[in-house]
Amino acid sequence: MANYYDIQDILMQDETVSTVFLHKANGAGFLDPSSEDNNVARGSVVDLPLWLAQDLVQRQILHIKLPSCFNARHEQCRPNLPLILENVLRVRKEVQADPACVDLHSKCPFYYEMGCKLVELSVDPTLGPFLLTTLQGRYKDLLCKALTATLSGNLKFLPHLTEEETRLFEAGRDSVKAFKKWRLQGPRIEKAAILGRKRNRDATPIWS
Amino acid sequence: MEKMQGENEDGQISSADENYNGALIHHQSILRNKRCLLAYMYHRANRLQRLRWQLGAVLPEDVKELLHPSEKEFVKSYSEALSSYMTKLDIDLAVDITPPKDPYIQVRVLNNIGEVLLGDQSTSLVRNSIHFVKRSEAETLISQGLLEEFTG
Repeated sequence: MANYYDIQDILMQDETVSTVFLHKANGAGFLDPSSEDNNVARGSVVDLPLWLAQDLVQRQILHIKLPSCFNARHEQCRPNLPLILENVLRVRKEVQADPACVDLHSKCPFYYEMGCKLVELSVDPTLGPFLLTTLQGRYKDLLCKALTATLSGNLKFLPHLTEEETRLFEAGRDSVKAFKKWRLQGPRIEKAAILGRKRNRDATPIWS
Repeated sequence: MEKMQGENEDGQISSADENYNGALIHHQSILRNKRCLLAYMYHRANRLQRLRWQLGAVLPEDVKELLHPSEKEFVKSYSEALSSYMTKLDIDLAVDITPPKDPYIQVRVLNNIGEVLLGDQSTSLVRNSIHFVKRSEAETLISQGLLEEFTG
């Protein structure tokens, strides 16, 4: 339960996964846009957020299909549709070719955390090592850029980073800023940050 | 094989189980809402605690008007608990967050405050005047934005 209050975890669990219902569920028809009555029929394919899908999978009410951004080379991939298989294999090939250039943010902003959750839930055993190698490939480049970034440069690849990588990047940049400030012996006690912000509502300043 | 297993269980599943699944989905949604709300309140309370350490016992007005009455209660009791603890130990824990180099510091006054008790003497702080004060007292006033460190 250490993640209960963690905002990143809450946001991450809002991502949707495609699931197949193994049993019927009454009264939950709002989840499935194609159901006429208020029921979800067996075998229907529904997109559910991860927080809901996770619990239902553990009670074996449904099956999670690995999202295509993780390249589901999985039994659920139907072999008589080779085009889908090709698209899905492309992600892993892209990552194996050059991990530093792949735009992971557009595929899934919480790529690694989501992958970790899915490793526990789904059948694909190669997902864990794949995530590790992806992060390894991107980490060195990320660290170099974070520690040498100036204010203006290095903005092109920032939208390609996932949320976790962005946090690492900002931590690196802040530590370099703090080091430079210490080096130049800047002011050590400062005005509290909250006072500097101007509120839209009040016209009168706080301290006049 | 999966399909066969499903059909097998299907024979044993009564309609009650179908309703159970639907109820489960609703229950999970309720739990999710609860989690989001609790996390929001938790992070708000955390920010208030941090403000207490940065600004001292008095909150700025525009923050106060955004607080729920129970949050105001929280701030009051947290502040009381902190101050009783600090008086028992007889040190002010909220100053000297960064290790000081000097016990005294030169400050410039940004706004007119009037008479303030600094150390043993009360000094009148006029705008743009420079004073040489003890660091612990200056720290609370600097973080409230009333003084500024003078690096002449």
